[in-house]
Formats: sequence, structure tokens, C-alpha cells
Amino acid sequence: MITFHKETKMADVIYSNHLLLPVINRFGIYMGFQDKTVEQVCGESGTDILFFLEILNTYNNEKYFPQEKLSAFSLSSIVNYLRKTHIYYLSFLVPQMEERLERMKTEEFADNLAVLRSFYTKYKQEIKSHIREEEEKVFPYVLDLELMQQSKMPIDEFKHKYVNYSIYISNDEHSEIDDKLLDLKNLIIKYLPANYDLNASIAFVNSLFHFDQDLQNHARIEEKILYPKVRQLEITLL
Amino acid sequence: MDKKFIIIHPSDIFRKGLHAVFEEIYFIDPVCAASVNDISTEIINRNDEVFLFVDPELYLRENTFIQQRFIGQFKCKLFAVVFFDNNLVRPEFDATISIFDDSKMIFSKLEKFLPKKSLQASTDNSCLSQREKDILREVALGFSNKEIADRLFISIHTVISHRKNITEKLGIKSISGLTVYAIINGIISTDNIDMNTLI
Repeated sequence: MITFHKETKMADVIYSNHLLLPVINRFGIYMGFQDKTVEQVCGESGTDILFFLEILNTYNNEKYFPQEKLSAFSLSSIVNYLRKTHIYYLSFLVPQMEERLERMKTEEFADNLAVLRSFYTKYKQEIKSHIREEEEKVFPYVLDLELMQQSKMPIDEFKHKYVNYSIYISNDEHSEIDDKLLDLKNLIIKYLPANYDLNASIAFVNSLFHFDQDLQNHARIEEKILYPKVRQLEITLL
Repeated sequence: MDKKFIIIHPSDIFRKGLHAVFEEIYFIDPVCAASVNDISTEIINRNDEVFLFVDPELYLRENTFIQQRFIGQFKCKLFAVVFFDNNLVRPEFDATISIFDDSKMIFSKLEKFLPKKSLQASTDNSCLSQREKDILREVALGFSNKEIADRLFISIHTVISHRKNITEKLGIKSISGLTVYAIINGIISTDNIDMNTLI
């Protein structure tokens, strides 16, 4: 598996895995790279290159384990990235899947579509509430922890605000969301009677796989980068 | 219960080579590391069967550590991965794999430790038995294990074991996923029920 470095040509990154396009977009980086290297592109857009490379490599290779000192980048840059992923899910991927599912409709498929729609609607609510949980509880905690580290928040105020709170509260939900996505993939790929619109079904399955991969990556970044760093800070500060 | 393949060898070429071979013959993804320290035992569940492939020299050096972390903790099979000399291979190894063995040879050396079906138990046929369909219908209609046991005059333990088999056969874990399956396969009909509350 390729590991990207600062000298890697930005275009080669995308040639080797085009699913990284939405990832680099989260950093506000657009295509049209010419022959620029990752370092040059990051320099021009004011992106933290160490963090950028860790995100690309973690996404691209599930066995990749962040090599750089975790302290090299701030908690707020990680949270900022994760927030952008949430926006991408809510404003793009989730509606896209929904729209593609609807396009599978044929006269004979209408009943089954209604069943799948009902499943998807529930699933969508679960994703939204999981994201809300992270946005409203986990991220503020992480950001305040960082404020405390920078001595911008007194430790007493922090302890008062987060009585009995721990970063690990919402881990189960992740796997529940993963399970449902796997169920949906299985239902479509293995058990669907063949009377749906074929091209639309390919598009739907494509976005399911894309979403699955992006979610797994999202979880990896939390587990391999965010949580260890938070844990480290909790130990030294609290 | 799963099988976990773990390769601990200082040579990158050995690790990657063996990894590729296992991927090819068993469709599995072994965990690889250069030293015992780099492996987190968190990836292993208590009932898993561990297949440990180690450099015999490393085994001698880190013997206590390997005993403590793996052999003492889990059901383990131990394999030596060797280049030339076999005199370092201690009797506690279950088998020895040489760098000159081809995939076929490795497969046959491991065969007796891996009963044929054990690696792909869950990919078997997805045909549910009549009893399993009965249980699935009840699950899809929203009944709890206790209610199902009472309605079908069986023990709650039997219900749970049927449910486990159903999930394994179909590859569907969530109750709403099972309900979708039951509806699109005609196991329950949507005529008399409100689908949105069930799924």
C-alpha cells in the first residue's frame, strides 16, 4: 500500500485513490493541481501539511498508523476536519443516497421500495442523532480540554462543566450505525428481487460503498488520532 | 469464535510474503508486526483461536512475553517461520513454515489445524429452515425473545440460538434489517401492519 509523502504529486494522490477527492475538499483544496507536490499545494492553501498527510494516509490505508507525534497538530484542527465530514454527510452523501434509492423505482418495485425507504429513513435519523451527539457533546468537550491546556480555561470551571463525562460514551452507537449500513448493503446485494431500475441501483450501491468507506475512516481518525490525544491530555491535565 | 492469524517477524519481506499467501489461500487479513510489543491483544476476543507465526529466534528472545500475552491467554497454535537452519525451532512449535514452501505446501501444513469449514462458517447457504422462518416472522413482527418463546412453546434459550443462526446465515444484524428481509421475501405480509412502526 502506498504511503503519501510531502514530495508526492498531488495529482498522483487522486490517481491512486479518487475517493480522496472529498477528503481534500474538506481542507478547501480544489483540483487543477498541475505537477504540484502535496507540500506545494498545502503551502498555497495554508493547510497544515503534517495533519493533511496523516488524514490522507489514514484514509487510504486502513493499516496505517499515524507515525508523527500526535502532539504535532491541534485538537481543534482534528475537530474542524471531523465537522467538515459531518457537513459532507448531511448536506451531500445522505441526500444523495436517498435520491439514488428513489430512482430505483419501477412499477413492480414500488412496494419493495417503500420498505427500503422506511428502513433508510430510520437509518438517516440515527446518523443525524449520532452526529448531533458528537457536535453537541463530544466536540465541545474536546475543544474545552484544549482551551484548558492553553490556560484559557481554569481547571475548576472545566471540571464543573463536565462532571462524570468521558470521551468514550458514544462508541456503541458507531457500531450500530455500521451494522445497519452493512445490513442495507446485504439486503440490496443478496436479497433484492430483480425488478428495480438497474442503472439507478448501481449508483445507489456506489454511494453505499463510498459512505461505508468514509464512515470507517471517520471512525479510524477518531480512534487513532483524536481519542489517544484526548486521553493523553486527560492524563496530564486532570 | 474466530481464527486470528498473527505474524511476528523482524523481516518485512517475510511478513508481507506470508500475509500475501494467507490472503490468497484463506481470504483473511493477518495482523503483522516486527515485534511482540507492536501487537495489541485488544484485537483478540477471549474465545478466538490464535495462529501465531513467529521467527524462532525472536521466540527464544521474547519467550516469556509471548507466553504471557498469547499462549497463556488464548487458545494458541504456534508456528515457526524459518529461512535456513531449523535448530532454533523448539519442540513447542506445532509446525514449521520455510521461506521455500509454496502456497500449496503451506496450505497442506496448516490443513490439520484448520478443519475445512472453520474459516468460512458464516458464508454458508442462506436458506432458512422452516423453524427459523417462524422465528424470523415473530422477530419481524416486533416480539421480544420472551414473547416468542411463549407464543411458540419453546425455551427462550432456543429462541436466542435460532436468532443467532438466522443472523449468521443472512448476514443481517439489526431487527429492522431482518424485518425488511422478511417483508421482501414474503415471510410477513404488509397488508395488516404499519410498516413504519416495525422497521
